[in-house]
Amino acid sequence: MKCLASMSILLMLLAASVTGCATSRVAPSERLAVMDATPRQTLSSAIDELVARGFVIRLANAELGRVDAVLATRSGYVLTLEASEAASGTRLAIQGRQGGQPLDPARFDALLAAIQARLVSASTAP
Amino acid sequence: MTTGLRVLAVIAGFAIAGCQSGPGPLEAGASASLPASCSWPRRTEASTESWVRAGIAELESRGFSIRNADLALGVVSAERSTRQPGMGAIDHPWYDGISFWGGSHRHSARGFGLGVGVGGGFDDPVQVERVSLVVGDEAVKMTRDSSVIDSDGYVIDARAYNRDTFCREVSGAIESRLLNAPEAS
Repeated sequence: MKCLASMSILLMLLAASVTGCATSRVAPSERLAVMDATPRQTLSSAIDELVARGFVIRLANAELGRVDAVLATRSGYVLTLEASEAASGTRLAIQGRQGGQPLDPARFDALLAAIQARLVSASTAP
Repeated sequence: MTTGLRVLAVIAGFAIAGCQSGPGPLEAGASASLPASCSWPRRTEASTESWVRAGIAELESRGFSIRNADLALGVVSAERSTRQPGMGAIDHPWYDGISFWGGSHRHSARGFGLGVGVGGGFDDPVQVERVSLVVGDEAVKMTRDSSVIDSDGYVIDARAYNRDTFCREVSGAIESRLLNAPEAS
C-alpha cells in the first residue's frame, strides 16, 4: 500500500515535470500583413512565391484560407499561412518553424513583401 | 607557417563550408534554382480540374500517395517513401551482432534484435519525397524535396530535390494524359 502511494506520487511528479516542459515552450509568434486583394488571390500569390523559393506545398485549402509549406534542409522549414477577410482586403498571417524551433517573425518580412509585390503586379497586369 | 596555424585554417575552412549553403529560402530575393522543366506553360485548353485530376493520377501511378488537393488553388500535394537498402551499412556495421555474445557492446540491445531479424530489411533507411504540383493560371510548377531517415528516426540527408528528368517525365506524362482523356467541353 505504501509502495502504491509512493509510486503514484512519483508518477504525479513525472507528469508535472512533463507538463512543465510542454508549457514552457514559447508559442510561435506570427507576422501579419493586410493585402489589398481577396483571400484567394492572396493565397494564390503566396503559393507562387513559395514555390519560386523552392518550398513544397503540403496543404492548400481555399475555404479554410490556409496554406502549409515545407522545405527539407538540414533543419527543415515548416510554414503556415492563414488568410482571412479583413475590413479592407485580406489579413495574411505567417508563422513557421525551423528545425522544430519557432522562427523569428521578422524573418517573414521579405516573404510578405514579395507576396505583396506579386499581388500588385497581378492587379496592374491587363 | 606553423602547424598550429595550418590546423586552425583547416578548422576554419570546415566551419565556413558548413555555413556555405547560400541564402535561406526566406531571405529577400531568394529563389530556388528550379530546372526549367519543373515549370511549364499551360498549353492545353484543359480546365484546372482536369489538370489536377491528371496530376493526381500520374503521381499515384509513380507510387506517390496524395496528401492534399485543392481545386480552387489548383494544388496537389503528394508523398512517397522508398526504402534505401544498403545505405544503412555505414551506421550499422555487419559485426553489430557480435554484441549478442559480448554483451558489453554499446549497441548490445539492438545487436541482439538484428541478429534475430537478419534478412528482414527493416533496418534500412527510408527516403521520403514530398512533391507539390501547382496549376496556376498560366503555368504549372512542380517542387520536390527529399529526406533520408534511418530506422532510429535520425535524418541522414535532407534537401530540395528538383530534378530535371523527373520534372520532364511527369510533365510529359500529365500532358499526354490530358490529351488522351479530353474533357467534354
